[in-house]
This record gives sequence, structure tokens and C-alpha cells, in this order.
Amino acid sequence: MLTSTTGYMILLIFGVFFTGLTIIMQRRSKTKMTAEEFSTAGRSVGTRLASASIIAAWTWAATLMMSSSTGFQYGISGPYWYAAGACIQVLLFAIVAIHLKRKAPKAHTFLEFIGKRFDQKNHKLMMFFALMTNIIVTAMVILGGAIALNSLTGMNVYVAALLIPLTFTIYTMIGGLKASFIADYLNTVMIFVILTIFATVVYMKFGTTTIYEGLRALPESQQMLTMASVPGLLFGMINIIGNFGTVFVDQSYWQRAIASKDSAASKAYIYGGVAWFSIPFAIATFLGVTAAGLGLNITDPDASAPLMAAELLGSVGSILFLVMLFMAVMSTGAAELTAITNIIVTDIYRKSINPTASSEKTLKVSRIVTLSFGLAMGILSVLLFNIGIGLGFVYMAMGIFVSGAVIPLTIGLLWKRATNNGCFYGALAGMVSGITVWLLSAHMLSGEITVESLGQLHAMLYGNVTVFVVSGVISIGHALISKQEFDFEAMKDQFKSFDEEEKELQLATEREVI
Amino acid sequence: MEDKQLMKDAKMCTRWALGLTFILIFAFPGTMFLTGYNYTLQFFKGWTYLAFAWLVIAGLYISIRPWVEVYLEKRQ
Repeated sequence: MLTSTTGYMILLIFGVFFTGLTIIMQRRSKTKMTAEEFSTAGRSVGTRLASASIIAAWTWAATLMMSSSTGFQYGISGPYWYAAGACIQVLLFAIVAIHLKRKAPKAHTFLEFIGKRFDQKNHKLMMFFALMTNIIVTAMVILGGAIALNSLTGMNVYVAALLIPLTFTIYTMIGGLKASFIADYLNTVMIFVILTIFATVVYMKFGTTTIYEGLRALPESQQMLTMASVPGLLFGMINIIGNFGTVFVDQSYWQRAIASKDSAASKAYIYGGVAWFSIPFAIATFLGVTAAGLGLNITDPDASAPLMAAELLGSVGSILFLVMLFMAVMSTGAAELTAITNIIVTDIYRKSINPTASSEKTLKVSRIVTLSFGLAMGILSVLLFNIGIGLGFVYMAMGIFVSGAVIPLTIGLLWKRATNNGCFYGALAGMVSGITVWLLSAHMLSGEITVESLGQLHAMLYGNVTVFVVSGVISIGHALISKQEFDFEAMKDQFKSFDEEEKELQLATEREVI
Repeated sequence: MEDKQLMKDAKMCTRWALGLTFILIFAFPGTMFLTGYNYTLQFFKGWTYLAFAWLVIAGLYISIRPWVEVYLEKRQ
């Protein structure tokens, strides 16, 4: 095991490196930082940088830890279902991303679009879903990082949870979305390099035959070497349904579409999705499945990846795994933080509190929000840890809480017949009924409602499916019955950049003076 | 003109997104699940080679392409 000093050093080195890099880039940049630049990165990001950023945002601590856990538990079907089940949302998101570009070319958040497409109650409800998604994901990312730091270095888990957000909050506060993109690129490259090292060492040290024979010798070998594993399939179904919410309702993915050039918006998600597939697929195959095949004595499947990394390369393996995990935590954390900031600044501050705020004032508020939320997320992670809620539980339960908004949101963007009431009650009833079914099925299957009974695959699956069925039936059904039609063309010119709004305001003031 | 291009892109990415989703979620795992196929050593080897190759190609693509993109933009 590494020392806790190593943990502190990793936090310090990466925090200082990315903050320094952001400051240097800011100084060398020819354009002045404005509120618009801070939240949209100038809407000029190319396909490949956007792809790298999407990969980084979608590579959570859970991607590295949980995927390996599925490989360790379910055999070869685990990595596949983790990768495929969480990759298709990114691929399908390309469709809605390009439609947002067409229908609201200058929007800052997807909620800004919802506010103009639907009524106030829909805007507020979707904002609730979006903030809940961002907050849960950020807390989960920090929690994953803190647990890994604690288990590999012995670093105090609470100190780790409070220090991790500091590393990405400072550079995000300085450089905004653009800084997040650059950090995302570097983090993604680093993750690929470290994963390739692990995969190569597995081949060189053990070879595939040893692992195969080991898997065949396991008592549960029936499911370890086939895709026809029922637990694997159940996990896959939860993964597919649950992850729709965490992509479609998460502002950080919309933000990448908003920040991309028109030509890059859709392609980036296709390239990003296909490339992202390789990360959980490889790590879970080479660390999770291999750990099972080699018969390592692992009591907690969630810890299979770091333990296998240590088995492969000793302390160097642990450090490499920690660096990779920390890269994933940093980039997702920064992406979520900029997403929360954008929602609060655009949909609360500029919409309701100070609509005429200057660019300078908006930028200042953005930075304050980024800093405050970054620090608050660390505290929330500590609270979650204290309640005893783990990474796997939050990962699988998330869909029940946030997926209610997926169908209403998607049809609102793509279908002119989607209605205010249908989408509002669909999203709300979807969430309420999903939680109810989840609680009831946990009680019926285990006779009690505890974190353990709620974490069972069947209860999670019933809850997740109910959310989709109820929200879909209500929102689509109401649209079909009411036969209303919305004119998307009319809303196109209603979106303005912060800079344009400021110019218009200045002109209006000048006219008044004259 | 710009909207026409976006519509064209939307059609193309819809086809790719739906096509890949069908292959990844229904076609491949569906066939494997229904046949109940158990991996032979050869198939397992091929599976791990696929995971490795996919990782290396995706890593190279993601690492190098942004630089190529910057270079091409500068040349233009």
C-alpha cells in the first residue's frame, strides 16, 4: 500500500499543474475572458477536442471501478454490458445535440430552450432534475475518488473528499469551459496511456490462456465465459435505462454541444461514444475479468481494479491507477461544475434575479458560483459517505431519480406536438411512480426497505423501467390526444449571447439618453 | 444554407447513432444470449485482442486528431 503522503502529493501536483496551465493559457490568449466565453468557450470547439472532452466527462470514477467490478462478478458479459449500456446514450445524444444547435443556436443551457419551448412550470421542474443530476454526479465522482485515495494510500477519506474538489474548482473558476476542455483532453490521453500499459502488462505477465483456464475453473464458470449471463443481462438493462438520465438531463453534455462548432456538434458524440466504449471494455476485461480468472482474493468487487493494478505492477501499478482515477475525477468534476454554474447563472441569476447584468458582473457571479459549489460538493460527499451510501448504489439508483425527464425533454426538442402539461406531468409522475415501485419491490422481495434491499438488481430494474414507461406514456399520450402544434422556427431568434444582450442594453440606454 | 448542412448532419448522425445502438444492444448481444454460446479459448483470445486493439486505436485517434485539426485550421 502507498503512503498517505503519496495521496496528498498527487492532489497537489495535479491541482497546481492544471491551475498553472490555465493561468498560462489565459495570459497567452488573445481574446478577453467574458461571461459568454466563460460559459460557452466561444462556441468554437472542433470535433476532436469535443470528442475527447465528451469521453472525459463520461469517464467517471465509477467507469473505472464499477466496470471492473462487473467484470469480476459477471465475467465477460460485465465489461460488454457496462461499455455498450452506457455508450449508446452518448451516441443517441448526438441526435438531440444537433437539433438544439438548429433550434436554439445561441442558447447557453438546455433549460433556456425548455423555458422558451414550454411554460414556467416545466422550466422549474426540468431545472430541478438537471441540478439534482449534476449534484448527485459530482458527489458521486468525489466520493469515488476519496474512497480510492483512502483504500490505496490510507489518506483520510473526509480530508480527501474535501480536497479533491479544490483541485478542479480553482482552474475551472479561472478558465471556465475552455479550461475544462483542455484539461479534459490531457486527462483523456493520460487515461488511454495508463490503460494501454495495464493491458500490455496483463498480456506479458499472464497471457490469455492462464486467465481463460482460471475462469473455467471457477465454480460460477457457467456465467463467466458467456454473454448468456442473466445477472449480466439484468445489470445491462439497468445500465442502459439508468444512464439515459445521466446523459440527457446533464447540462455538461448539452454544454459540449453548445461549445462546439455547428459542424462538430453531432460528429463529436459519435466519435466520442465509440472511443469511450473502449475504456470500460478494456479496463473491466484486463483488470476485472483477469482478477477473477487469476483467482485473486478480493472480498469487495468494487476494489477489484485497484487491487489488480497493484498485483500487476506493485506500487507503480497503484500509483498509475490512482493517477488514472484522479484524472477521471478531475475532468468529470470540472465538467459538472461548469454545468451547475451555467444553470445557476443563465436560468436563475440572468433569468430571474438580474436580467440586465453586465458581462463583467455575470462573469464575477459565475466564478463565485463555481467556487461555492465546488466546496459544497465536498461536504455533500462526506455526508453521503456517512449515511453509508456507496458508489455502486448511487450509480444504479440514479436513473430512478433523474430519468423521468428524458422522454419529455427529448420529445420537446424533436416533436412539435409535445405539450406543456403532458411533459410536466409525465416527468413528475415518472419519477414518483419509479421511486414508489422501487421501494415496493424492495420491500416485497426482501421484506424490508434498507440500503441493501434497495440495491438489489430486480428492485432497481423495476424502478428504472417504471420511470420510462410512465413518463413516456403520459407525455406522448397527451401530445397525441391534444393535437397542439409548436412553431420551432418562431423561437429561433429568441436566443442571444450574453455579449449581444449587453450590446442591445447599451444601445437602448444610449437611445434613452438621447 | 447553414440550416441545410445541419439537417444533413442530423440525418447522418441519426443513422449512425441508431445503427450502432442496434448492433451494440440488440444484434450482437441478442445473438450471443439466445445461442447461449460459451467462449472457447480462441474466441476469448480474439475478444481480448479486440478490447486491446479498440483501446489503442481510440487512444491514438483521440490523442492525435485534435493536433491535426489545429494544423489544418492554421493552414487554411
